[in-house]
Amino acid sequence: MAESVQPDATTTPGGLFLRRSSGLVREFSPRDVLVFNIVAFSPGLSIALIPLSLALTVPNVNVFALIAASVAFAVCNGLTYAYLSAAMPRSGGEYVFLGRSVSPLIGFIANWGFTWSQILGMAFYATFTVSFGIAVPFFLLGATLHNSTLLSWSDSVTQQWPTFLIATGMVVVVAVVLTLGPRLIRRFLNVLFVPALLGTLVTMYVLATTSHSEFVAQFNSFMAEHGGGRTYESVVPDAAAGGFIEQAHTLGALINAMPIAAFLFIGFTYSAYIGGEVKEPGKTQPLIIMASLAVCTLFYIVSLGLFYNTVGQGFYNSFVFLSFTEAGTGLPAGGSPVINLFAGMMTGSSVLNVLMALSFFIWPFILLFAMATVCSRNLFAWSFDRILPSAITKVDRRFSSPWVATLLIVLATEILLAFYVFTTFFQNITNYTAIFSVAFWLASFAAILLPYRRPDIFEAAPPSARRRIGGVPVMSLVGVGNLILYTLSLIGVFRFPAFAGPNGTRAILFVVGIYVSGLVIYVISQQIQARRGVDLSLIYKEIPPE
Amino acid sequence: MRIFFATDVHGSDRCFAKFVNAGAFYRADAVILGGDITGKAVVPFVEENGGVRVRFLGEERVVHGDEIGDLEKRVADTGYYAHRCSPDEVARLNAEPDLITPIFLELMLARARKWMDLATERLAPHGIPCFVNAGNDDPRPVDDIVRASDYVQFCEGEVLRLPDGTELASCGYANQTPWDCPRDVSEEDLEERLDAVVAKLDDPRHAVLNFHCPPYDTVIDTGPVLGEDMRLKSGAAGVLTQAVGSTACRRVIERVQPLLGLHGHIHESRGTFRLGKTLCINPGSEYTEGILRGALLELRGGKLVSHQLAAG
Repeated sequence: MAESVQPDATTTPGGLFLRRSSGLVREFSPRDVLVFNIVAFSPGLSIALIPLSLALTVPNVNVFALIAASVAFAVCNGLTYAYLSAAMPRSGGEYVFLGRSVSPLIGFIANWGFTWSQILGMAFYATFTVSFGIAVPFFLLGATLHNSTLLSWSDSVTQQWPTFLIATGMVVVVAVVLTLGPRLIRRFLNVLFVPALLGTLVTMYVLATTSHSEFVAQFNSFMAEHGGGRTYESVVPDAAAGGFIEQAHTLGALINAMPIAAFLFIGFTYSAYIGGEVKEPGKTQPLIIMASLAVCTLFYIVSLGLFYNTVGQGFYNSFVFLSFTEAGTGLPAGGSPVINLFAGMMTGSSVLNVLMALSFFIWPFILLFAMATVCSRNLFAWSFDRILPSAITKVDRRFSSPWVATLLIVLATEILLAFYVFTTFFQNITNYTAIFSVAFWLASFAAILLPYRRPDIFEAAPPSARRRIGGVPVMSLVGVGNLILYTLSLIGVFRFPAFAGPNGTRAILFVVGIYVSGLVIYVISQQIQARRGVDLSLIYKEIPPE
Repeated sequence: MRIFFATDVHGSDRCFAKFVNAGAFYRADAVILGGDITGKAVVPFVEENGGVRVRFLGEERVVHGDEIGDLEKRVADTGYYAHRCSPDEVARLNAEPDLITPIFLELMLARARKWMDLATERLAPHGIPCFVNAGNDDPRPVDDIVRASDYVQFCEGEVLRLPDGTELASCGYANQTPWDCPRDVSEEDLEERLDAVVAKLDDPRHAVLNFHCPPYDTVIDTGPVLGEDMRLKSGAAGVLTQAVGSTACRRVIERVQPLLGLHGHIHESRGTFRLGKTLCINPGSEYTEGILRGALLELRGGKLVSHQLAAG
């Protein structure tokens, strides 16, 4: 006897009548979206990097104007990915977005380049963690506790072999945790997130409760003991004597700082996961996404405002200049001019210094996991599509972990780590920022072209992704905005080696080479698979419904 | 022999139209639809001032004339069912949702009948056999509609033959989900059903198992973790996921070691996984976007010569 449909029909606020069927989930709550976006933004890492980057590249930029410009970047980049994800929520990333709106070849090339930027980034951030997340805290704790062993360690860890071995240790930890499976990764990151955020809040507290005059006194006292007696008042004139010219804030400096603007809110696109099977998108989610951006912007304004107000932007720029000259600042190798160095000077509390130190170590360390996971997912996608061998998707039986993909990523990272530490490869050839900027630049075309090349996908997207202004899809407009901003960024990355990387012919050829190698691999795979009867052009070729 | 396998079209007119065209498009010798063929929602088209008021994908508007048919088509392409009604009827249905049940069922069955006719129209001229199964989301009355087709072969609980003689054993049931769907059963019950259909096979080692639910803990069964309020959960590592496939399905495949496992059910979990000698495939689903995800499989001499995931 035939049975009837389960009688548990319900109605949605949108007026649909739903029946019991799998996959009907509720979208993230506003709180979840807010927390999700803030986690993806990695606040502690951002404030560790940005003041130093600005001081090295465009010291005469108005920081708050730069933050405003960064918001424009974030909005364009964030909306580009948010709209594409809304149109194709179960697809994931520029590999598929570009694959469908342009071609599978372009999608793969963009994703290949982006993946290599992440692997290069892992090598870079592992050494960054040693220099800024270990050496500086050792130095500060050694100074605070009058411990000569810690002071000596802060110098030792910055030498080549210790840096390489410690960074290798971190990469090995990443490999082990990823191999032991997704549950351990989740627990590991959830646990580390707490001290990371706590340390960032402590840093902001220290900055907020230290006046400029107090900082000057503490700086002078600290440098009397550990910095060869250099005083606050001597820094600016000494930098000037060494060739540093403090300039007024200019629009030109802001334009030159666009690569840094592109970097400020990177990772912000993660909230675009809509999920669910019923496309009744909530009205609150887009607003909460923008609210998340507002919270992060406020964080930057407050933290950088506090830092520059307490320390003095002119002083800081001069101090950074001196640290990279022969004259130096008087501090040993462990005294790199990052924000945590100065925050550590402002408090004599070893407890607060430990909390801040943990934070400045954990944020870049966590990033290694995120980058490795992204790379692993990309390798899986290529392998499922038969562009790379299927052996890459082998999963460990016990831990359900992608051990082959993880091993490949870690091996590549380790090789690049050795190049970074023992050679001038990164300094002379590798422009890390340029490599991922090309991927984001290419992704712009997915947003620009999707409404025209795949109108079927566009018209099936939620209304928020289908808005038009003057008949032109907003998706295309933000794509154009993203294209302009990343064009400026790409022009800028080759002008400021101190921030982005080298800018000579070899550097340009290296970037081009990475993307061309993606083309070569795709073509070779195409030929190999064709002999096996597999046609790679069918990956995203639309079947006509008529 | 080339097979095209797709699954979880969930009422999407556009996806089913692509499915029946896929045979000629991919030059397949057979096409298989794995289950979950019925839609999940009814969209009321409420009569108003000579037109209809419709709220769809977050937009509410009043449409007239040809626009009504266009919007009904868009609704159908997304997998939903348009239902024209009066304001009084909508008010009654909102007050007593149980009243929608027979309407829902009739809309599902009407679309299923239309699909069977379309399959005959598009596939019969090419002589491409069509195999369709129901999934855990599909109510039982749908089975009779597919069985009644002169051309489409209904798979549930049966062993059928593909053009080269390879056996195809099918089961559309799944282990219990949080939504208590029409064909959700316990793992014990599921294993009995799977064993029952496998027992009908002459040559299990060279058979294709068309089991809607993927085997447990195999990458192709990764679904989101849900809270009690059915919201997605997230943490510092992003959206939380877990293995949601069937342990019964895994045991059966590990024991039988067929040539191929074809699965669906978890739309986000596109991929392949080797369980011993068996390649298990879940092509995933993007039916709401009108994209037909599928798998192209080349079988020759009792072996799987090549496989490819496609999104058409």
